[in-house]
Amino acid sequence: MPIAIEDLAGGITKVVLSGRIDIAGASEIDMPMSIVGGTRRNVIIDLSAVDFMASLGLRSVVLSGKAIMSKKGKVVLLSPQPAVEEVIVTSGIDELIAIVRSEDAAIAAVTPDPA
Amino acid sequence: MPAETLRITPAPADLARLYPWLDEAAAPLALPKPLLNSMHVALEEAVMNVVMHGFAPEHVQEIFIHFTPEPEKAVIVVEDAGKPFDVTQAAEKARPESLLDAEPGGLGIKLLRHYCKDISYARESGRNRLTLGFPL
Repeated sequence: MPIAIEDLAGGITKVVLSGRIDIAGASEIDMPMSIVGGTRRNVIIDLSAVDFMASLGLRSVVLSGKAIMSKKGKVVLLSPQPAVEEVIVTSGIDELIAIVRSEDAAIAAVTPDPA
Repeated sequence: MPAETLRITPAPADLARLYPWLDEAAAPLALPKPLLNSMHVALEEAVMNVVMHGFAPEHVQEIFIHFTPEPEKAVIVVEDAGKPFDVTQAAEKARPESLLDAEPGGLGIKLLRHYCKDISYARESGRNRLTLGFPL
């Protein structure tokens, strides 16, 4: 399964994607990503172990991110490999969901604002 | 080397065959990984565009993909009998102001043009024929 979901301290969720998020991979992550989008508010999407992603995988990430943002949540992309980052930047998604390079930076970026 | 051809339907199991088929067809060329990656991204986009937007129920829902190595480029042709669609003339969607404004569609044309600079389209005998050239 190319997706694992971990709950971190502070109400933060880390979604770890891995392998090839191609047509088959995108269909495997679609449902879990929809659930994350629907149920979590502070989310790190770790792309460091993703070897391949194109428009279908990106679509899943965007839909999930959009659902999180619609709840006034926060979402970041963590450490995509260069080939995957090229897809993200080319499509302009990096301007909508920030890319960060370390887990500390990711946690800082999605930590809930104090009430 | 003659063209290799793959015939698929919009079934998920068929669609998953795209990448291994392309890898096998291109294997004799020993292409560098970044070029193969570009071909995978462009082919996924071209085929999914047909699958998600090109077919009405009355269409013969088959896609033929041809791979031909030429002296200076590798050529992928995606052929279908769906609705006419010339991606070379399609407008790219404006970049959304925020994630909330983003629509998941519309990313692909930008990706296709980035990963494949040599794109041509023809409508012949009721069929779309999209040709993607990748310089070697």
